[in-house]
Amino acid sequence: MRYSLLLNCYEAEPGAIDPEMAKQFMAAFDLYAKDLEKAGVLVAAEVLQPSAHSTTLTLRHGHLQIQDGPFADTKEQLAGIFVIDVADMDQALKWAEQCPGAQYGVMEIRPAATAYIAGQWQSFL
Amino acid sequence: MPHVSIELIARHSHGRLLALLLSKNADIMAAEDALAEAFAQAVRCWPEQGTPTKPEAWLYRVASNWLINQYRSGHSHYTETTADLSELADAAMTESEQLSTPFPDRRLALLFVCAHPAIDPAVRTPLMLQTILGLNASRIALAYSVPETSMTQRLVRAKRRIRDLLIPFILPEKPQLSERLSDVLEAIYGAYAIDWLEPGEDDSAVSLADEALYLAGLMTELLAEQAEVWGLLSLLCFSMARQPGRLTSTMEFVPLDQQNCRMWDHKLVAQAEGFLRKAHSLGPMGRFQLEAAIQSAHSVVLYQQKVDWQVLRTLYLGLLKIAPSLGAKVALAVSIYQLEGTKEALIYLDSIKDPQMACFQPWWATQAFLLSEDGQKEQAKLAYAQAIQLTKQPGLSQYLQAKAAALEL
Repeated sequence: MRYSLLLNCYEAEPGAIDPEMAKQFMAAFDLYAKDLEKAGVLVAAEVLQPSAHSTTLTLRHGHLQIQDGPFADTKEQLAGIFVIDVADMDQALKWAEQCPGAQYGVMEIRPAATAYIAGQWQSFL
Repeated sequence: MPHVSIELIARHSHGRLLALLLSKNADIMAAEDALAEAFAQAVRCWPEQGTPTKPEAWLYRVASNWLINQYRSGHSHYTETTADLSELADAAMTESEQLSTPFPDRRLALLFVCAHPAIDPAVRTPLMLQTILGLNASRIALAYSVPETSMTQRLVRAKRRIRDLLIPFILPEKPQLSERLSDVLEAIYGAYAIDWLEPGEDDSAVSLADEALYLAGLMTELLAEQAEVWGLLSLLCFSMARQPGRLTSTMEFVPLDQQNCRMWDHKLVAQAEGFLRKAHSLGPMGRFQLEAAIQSAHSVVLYQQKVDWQVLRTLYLGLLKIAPSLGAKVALAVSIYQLEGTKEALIYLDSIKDPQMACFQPWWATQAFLLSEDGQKEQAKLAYAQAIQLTKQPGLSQYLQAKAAALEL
């Protein structure tokens, strides 16, 4: 069985988080990722860019609709995550369009901010 | 006059230089800063040292160097490795040497980035005006009647998305091209439409019509084989050609069928006809080609011919099939009035079911006109009142008030 663990939190303005606190949390996340890895349960660890950088895509109205902005319908809930590694936004959109889920649901495409890759946190910013 | 030449170069080359700088790195804000720095340097250096023989190459080199220095000092958003930096520097040198002819033109990729589906449609036109034409946020804000700070925020947000989402600066592949092309053309048309809907107090400062025409012309240079590109250029030319007949000397609106066609720009109409023929020779009828054909059908009065409403009705029906809009439905109602009479037109107009109808001024103005033709004075007055309330343009409001007042006689 695979599980996706989704972190929901308040989106702070840039610079609003105390750097000392951020440092402590980064160390804690590093430890956590290494623990998951040691336990052999980690597939991908991603911290996402703010929701303002989200793009949504759907085919459920019979045609391709792409929108600037996050998914906001509260009646529908997150049902899956696919972590992919591609060259640019157009490639990501292509894969999202091919996802069967786009036929009945809405795909939200969020670029990663940092990810735990090969033993260390890597920044994409 | 070195200052004049710097301004001219800025006007003409902003988009080209920015697009070229962006081919190295998708950070529009950094590239804009670099370009501003290069122009500031030009203002300082050129009057003393003389204008360089290749001014654009000079500007590009200065801007490139500035960007590279930013990377080195770590001010930039991106942290490049040393290898990437020397590569950047080499590319800057060779490209600036190649800048004679042909100047590498990456504006098309930039236009497609501005109208990318992941970018909010409302900011696509402003983004084009700023990146391709170099208009500043205050000028764009003026045209959109929003505070400068809001426009700046929208533009900054869009530029951040382009940078952080890695929206690629490339021409989309074939299957996506036509769909995204319509977004690009839509955004260019948007620049024209703002001007048409809300003429400002001082037209010379606010008018974006010329900018839209410039962008449409640019598209025909860059994507000459696409029919819709010519369709848009034709549509804009037809529309602009009629501009002089649009308002009376007292700034009152004049409906199309009452305009003095001798006031239209005949040369521009002839050009528009040529562009329409070009579009027609290239491919199937798209939205803009159809709209241009509609304009063409209205323009026959210029050659002492009568407007063929049969043809117009067919064109509007075609337009409704490929690009349904409330405006096209109202226009179809007018052609029904011309062909079948008031009653039929009223029946069609009433049958339009659209949630936006209640606040769509042309629907109410047409309804008012048809009701008054049908002798339903009181109903017509109410419809005119509604239309006037929805009108933002003083000239059009004046015209509708005169029509409503005539009902009292």
